[in-house]
Amino acid sequence: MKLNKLSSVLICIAALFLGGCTVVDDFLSEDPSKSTRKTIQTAEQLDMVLARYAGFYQENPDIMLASDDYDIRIDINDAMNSGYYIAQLVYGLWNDRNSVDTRYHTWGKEYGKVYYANLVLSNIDKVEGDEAFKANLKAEAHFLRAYCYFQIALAHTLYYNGSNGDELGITLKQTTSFEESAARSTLKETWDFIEADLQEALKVTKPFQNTDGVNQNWRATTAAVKGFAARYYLYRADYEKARQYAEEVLREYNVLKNYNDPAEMSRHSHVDTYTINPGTADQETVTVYYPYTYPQMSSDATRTLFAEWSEMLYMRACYYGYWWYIPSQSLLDTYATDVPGGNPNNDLRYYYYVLPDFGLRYCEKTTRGRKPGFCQFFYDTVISGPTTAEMNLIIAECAARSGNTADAMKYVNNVRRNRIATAVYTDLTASSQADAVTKVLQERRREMPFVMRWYDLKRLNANDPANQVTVTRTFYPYNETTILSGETPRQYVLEPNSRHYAMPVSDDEISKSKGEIQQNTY
Amino acid sequence: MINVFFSRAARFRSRAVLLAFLLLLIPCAVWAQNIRLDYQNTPLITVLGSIQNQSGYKFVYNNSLIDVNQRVTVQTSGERIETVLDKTLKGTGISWKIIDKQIALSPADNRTVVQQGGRQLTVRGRITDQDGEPLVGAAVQNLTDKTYAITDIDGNYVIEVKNPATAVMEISSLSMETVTEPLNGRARLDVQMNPDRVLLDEVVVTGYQTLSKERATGSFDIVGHAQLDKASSNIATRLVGAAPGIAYTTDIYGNPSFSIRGTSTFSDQSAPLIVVDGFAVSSSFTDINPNDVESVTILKDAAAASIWGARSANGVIVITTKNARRAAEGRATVTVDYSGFYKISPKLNLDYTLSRASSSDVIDYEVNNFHHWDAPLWYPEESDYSGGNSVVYDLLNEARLGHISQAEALSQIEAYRKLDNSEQLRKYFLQNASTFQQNLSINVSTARSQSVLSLLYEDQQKIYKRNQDKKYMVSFRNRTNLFKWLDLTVNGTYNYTSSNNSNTGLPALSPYEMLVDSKGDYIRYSGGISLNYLNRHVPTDRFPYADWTWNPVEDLYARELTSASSLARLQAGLTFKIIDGLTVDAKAQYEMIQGRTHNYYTEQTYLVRSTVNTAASWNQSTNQVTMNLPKGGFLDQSTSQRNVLTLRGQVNFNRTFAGRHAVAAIAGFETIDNVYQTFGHPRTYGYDDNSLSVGTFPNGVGGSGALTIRNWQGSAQTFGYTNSFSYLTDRYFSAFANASYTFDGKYTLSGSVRTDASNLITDDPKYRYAPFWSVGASWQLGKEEFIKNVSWLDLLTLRATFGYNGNVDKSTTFKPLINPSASPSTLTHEYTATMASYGNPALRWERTRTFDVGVDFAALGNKLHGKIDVYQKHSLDLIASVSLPAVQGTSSMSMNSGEIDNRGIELEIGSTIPINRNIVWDGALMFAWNRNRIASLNYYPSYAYQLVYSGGSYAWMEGYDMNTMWSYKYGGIENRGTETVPDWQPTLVGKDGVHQTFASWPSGDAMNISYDMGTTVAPVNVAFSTSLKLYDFDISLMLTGKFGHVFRRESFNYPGISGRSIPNAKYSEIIDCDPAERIHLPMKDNETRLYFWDRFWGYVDYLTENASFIRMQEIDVAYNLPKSATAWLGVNSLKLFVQASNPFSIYFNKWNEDPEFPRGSAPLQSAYMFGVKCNF
Repeated sequence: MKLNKLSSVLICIAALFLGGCTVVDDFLSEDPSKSTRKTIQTAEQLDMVLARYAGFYQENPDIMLASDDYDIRIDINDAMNSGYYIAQLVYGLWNDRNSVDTRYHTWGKEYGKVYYANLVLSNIDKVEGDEAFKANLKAEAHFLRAYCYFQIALAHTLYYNGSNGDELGITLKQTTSFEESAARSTLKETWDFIEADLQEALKVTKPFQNTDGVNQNWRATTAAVKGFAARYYLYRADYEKARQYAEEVLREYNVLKNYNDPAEMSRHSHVDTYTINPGTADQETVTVYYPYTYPQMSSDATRTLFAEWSEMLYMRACYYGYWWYIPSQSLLDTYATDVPGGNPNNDLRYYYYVLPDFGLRYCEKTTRGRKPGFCQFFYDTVISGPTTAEMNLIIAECAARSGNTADAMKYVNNVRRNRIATAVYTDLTASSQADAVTKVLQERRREMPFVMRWYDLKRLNANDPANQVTVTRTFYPYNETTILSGETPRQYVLEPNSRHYAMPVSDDEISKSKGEIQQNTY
Repeated sequence: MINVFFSRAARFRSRAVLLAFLLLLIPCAVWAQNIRLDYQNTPLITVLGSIQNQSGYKFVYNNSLIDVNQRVTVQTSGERIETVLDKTLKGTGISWKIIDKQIALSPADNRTVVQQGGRQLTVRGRITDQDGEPLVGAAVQNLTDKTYAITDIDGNYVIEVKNPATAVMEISSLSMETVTEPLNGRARLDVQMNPDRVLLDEVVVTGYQTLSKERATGSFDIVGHAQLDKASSNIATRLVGAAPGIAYTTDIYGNPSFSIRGTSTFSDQSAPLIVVDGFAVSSSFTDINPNDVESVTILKDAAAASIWGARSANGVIVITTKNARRAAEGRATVTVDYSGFYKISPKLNLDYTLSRASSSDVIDYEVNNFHHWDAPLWYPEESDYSGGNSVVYDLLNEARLGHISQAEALSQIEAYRKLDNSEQLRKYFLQNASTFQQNLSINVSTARSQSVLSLLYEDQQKIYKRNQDKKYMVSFRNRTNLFKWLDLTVNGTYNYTSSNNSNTGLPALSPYEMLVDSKGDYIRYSGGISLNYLNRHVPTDRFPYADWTWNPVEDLYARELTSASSLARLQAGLTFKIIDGLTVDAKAQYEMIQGRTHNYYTEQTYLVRSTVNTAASWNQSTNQVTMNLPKGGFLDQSTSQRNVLTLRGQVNFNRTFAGRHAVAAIAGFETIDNVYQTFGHPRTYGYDDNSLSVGTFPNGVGGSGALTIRNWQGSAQTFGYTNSFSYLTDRYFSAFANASYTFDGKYTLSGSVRTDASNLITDDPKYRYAPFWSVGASWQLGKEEFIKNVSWLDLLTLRATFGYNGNVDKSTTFKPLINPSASPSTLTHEYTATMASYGNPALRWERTRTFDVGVDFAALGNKLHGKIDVYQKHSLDLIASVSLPAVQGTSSMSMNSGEIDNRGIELEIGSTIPINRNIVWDGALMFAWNRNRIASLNYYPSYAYQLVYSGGSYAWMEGYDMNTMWSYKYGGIENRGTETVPDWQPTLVGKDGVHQTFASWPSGDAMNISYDMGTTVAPVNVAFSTSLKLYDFDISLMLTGKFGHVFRRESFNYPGISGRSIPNAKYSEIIDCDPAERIHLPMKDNETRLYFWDRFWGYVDYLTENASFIRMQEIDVAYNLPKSATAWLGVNSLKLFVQASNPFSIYFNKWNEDPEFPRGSAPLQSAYMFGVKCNF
């Protein structure tokens, strides 16, 4: 009995102990969740990370607000129910300090995407997967990073003209580690880095495909990367390379939507009606019509119209949460030039996208509130990624700058034929090389309002003295919290050589990096 | 409870055998109880330990009275416990008594016992315990002439008294309160004695071991019988106010959730660990049958709780369930306990809950508002289909659009002024909340096996009509002495709860919007789509359902929202007795918890009709309507399942060497495998609960390109059709050991170590482990010679402990983690993944370091007793959101970098004063103070409004209490226009003196505009309980109070016209207020930013009020039927009781608002209970 008891107990203890020791590590190696919180093991997982188009396609509107396509005006402010927000003014009036309100920042938004690119690049050599598949993913990550850094540099650095390489560039994160320095590089390093990433990106092999009626424009494809390359080299004033890549894109894919075709472009059945000046002699019912792309884009299902936009080579769009793209008078005026009869409505881009009374949504319901708005997709989204139309216009500009006005007009008219009302359409012609350049630039502004204007202003100021722009705005003084509408308005000027073309980094960012990130000097 | 002899038990035999057969756990053979001892000159404590181990009885005694270190010689071979005790204690001056499963020791009186005398008065009597059972060996002393008598086996005594007129008798017995009574010449004196609570409570249960309190160095609270025995439907309610270190908040039914010694983590895992019969359980208090609970011990400091390692930083609540009492040799006992009660609450107070202005005031406000402020922004235009506005706004808008005249609108509105739907809401939506509970427990015990079977049924009606919970609980517990070296314990529990949740609360109607008309017909309202738009623009009869209207009563009865949950728990344990003082335990627990929801909406519900209608495609030019969803009801279902297996092996050692060196130690390991699965089912369309038929998607589920399906307004839509699953595994491996050493019964040192490892994701397994440890010491100061002379002091113990506890947060790992999508995007047809964690390079376990110093005392013959604890808790390496520069890809990341300090004082003072044998007064006061402070948090608010408006985790700031209430400071009005055209705007003022208006979000630094108003969690918790035993009545009450914190009282709600924004009852407060002091209604006629004001008005400083309150927690009155009556009824005991819970509270704010249940929400329900408890 005694022996039995002892031995059975000892066996129990030994079994439990030994069992415990040998299986504990196995026991604890079970992942906490089957479906979530996974470590990265396979190339397919990295592919899933890059496939989440919804997290990538939106770009913040700070550079849109700073461009002269948008407008900051006293009369609009006074008619608006709430007036402008300070966060809009700090860009629109080119403040020395950035807003702590990060809703409109390119900086944070794009670095958020860079993390994913770095996640892929840090893991791609360690994960399982087909080598060709991995090579393509790697090129895609380089593309994503190049595209994001290009946007950040547009917003926060001066134009790189080859001689100012010591100016501040951007932070060039290359890994996902939080320990990596957050300090900003020089301007030269920044542009060398972007170009190096672009060269890696050009190794993408995936062609631009159409599946189930939708172009794969949310992924890096040969057309997307080359479209960006054309945009990159145009910015760097390398017109030969820009034209070369743009032509390569159009050889692969060359579709333009004809706005004259009701199947391609139409109005939405929804209208807004407003009874203005109620109870007065001026009472009037005002109707606002929307393009067919009007429905809100909040889910996969409702983004189909956007994703199906056949001219888009790479899915990128400016997202403006305030829901009112206010077109400047100078932008509206361009629609009345170069158009037969001087009637902007003959330019179907104006007819569909410019809503003369859109402002009644946000202004008092009086005559004063009848301010124009620009709507492409819903109230908040305007395509900013490379398109086939942009490629035509890049070729046109490069041709014009090399003196080939015939080619320039040919490509401009490729676009215009699909944009101007057929009934009044005539080919545009140029009287000289300078005239050709001007006409192409004006067409660019009409074709890509808001989203490409800052890019154009910066490069034109640097490279094209004839087409330099000084932007001026008249508005009230303001402080950190309030528009001082009781005080005398003043003039705000953005000179062509202004250091404000490099927007300030947010103070918050500088303090969070413990001073590692430096502010621009003004 | 009385013993039933075998012969009497014959009647029960057939049933008992059946029971035994069914449960397979009562052994067939009844073994003799045989205790073998063979000791020569051995310390008494060693011998007692041996008896305890062999018999399963526990010794309780007071070290100040008993010298357990004296040496004895004893030899027994298989005698009964009574004989063994007699032999062991012979000549030691110690007497013994068996009370339940405890053996209580007390000093025997060795003074001369006078049984017979000369010509004095012969006084006789009988001494009984609280249940009327005879007390054997009680001492009856004549204080005047110092003579004694001892009661016999039937509790009778005889004593000769020389001076019967003046003699004062003192009756004392072990574990009983001593009774002193003048004889007054009587020849008979019967005394019923009450138990001495202090002595009986002197064991602490940690879940891993049971310690005598004096050898425990840690800080424990023990909740005793008196408190736990009162009826409840949730045992947690019995803990409210019962211990000083446990703060609580309750739901409207009084069900509490607890926090022990402040919050010590930023994660949501801040609830104490719940342990039932030695195992941490995965369920909540509601899964424990309150009638089964024997005792509750709360472990608070490092030494007490560290044995629970990584899950103990928030404290541990250890629940021990009742087991049957061991029967004496050769006897079997069967007892049955029944208890039942009915509890009822008054109907919900609608005025408080809805807090709305009168119909007439609401209409005045709406008529004025419609032409002012931000109303023009929200006017529904002819083309607007969205509805849900009040009847009054709809009429005014119809006039604005020219469909009716203004005069007609106003006259129609006039009729609504006299209407008030409160009565109808009360009738159709409210019921008296009630609880009906019945509990039956059957105890069967033999000398070697004890079993309890308990059955509970409970029916709870909630405050809203149709809402109900039904609960069924079965539990069985058995303890069997298989061999003299092996004990088996088996516990099994099965609970099933089914709930009806069909009533989702009061409908959002204006006070004048009636539910039914005078004929009793439902009144039709817009449920979100404008009825005017429908009438004028929509061919409603072409849609699947022509009726697009809504009525809340119809909806209430047209849906069946139910859920059910079940829990099965099985615990089994073997205890091997190896050698004297050494035992080995092998234990296992398996839990399976299942949950299911089944929400059925018939096609009478607005949800079904409007969803099917709006999902249809509508060609507005041809008016052709195409159905995209089938007609018929909706069914939403989800299920979940948790399976937990815990295994534990443990070695226990408990022995005293050389008479004065007592050692208690345990060592062991534990594994936990916890798997939690959920299953989500897509909505079933076209479902009929009677035929179980389902519909199909007539045109598919939608998608991109040709698959696109448009809704009635032309927007693309897709329908969910995929199932969803999750599968989570939580695994732990722990190894632990602790030991305590007591020298001379006075000085104790204790220490514990534990390591926990979890299935954390890491490359290197070493990061999975976390060590926790504690040390403690206590000094029984009261036993020192220099204190012993202080006659009024019975007990004085000093304690000090230090150590680490842990908290689990597995949300991060070193490496970035991703969440892959379960189904492909309907747009791109690709699977996607989001970031789950950006990587936590600082990964480690959360730890809490606790330092605790305590004093236990008892004085005046135990009439006054209590304890004081002072603690400091420092929690470090806490997972907290850390601000990062955005270049890192994210602006914040959870990392182990936060620190929290909690410090506090806890005080408990109790007193028991017997006035005479029929009247006993008892009182206890608990006081606890806690201060919480975030010691380190590398986090900056991104937005100025975050501290005040976002609140919660966004409002955590280093250097402040975690529960700080931040407010804006109201800055009066400022003219933002010109002198000629003024524009007076309300403002808030920053610490820099700058005023900002309500027109946009505040800007600048968050700390500039956020003011610290104090903490929202009471730093001071007080509870006072008192009870009075008055003959056959027990009367008790408990008061609780919270002090020193703040809350925001209800503000006026400044509604605009969008939706049904009903001005609340505070309308009168601001209608004529001073705009310099209160936010006035907008001063500008076209105040277009009014809708934005809701970001401000509820958060201004002047709403801050003192949140202190005192609650009358409970009043209990119980009547115990006297023996004569119970005998006549044929039961052993019968108790009738009434209980009032939360009958009233006293608030320290002048608005009569309950800080924990603010106006505008349902208040705490008072409840009245009637019940009966009996034993037979």
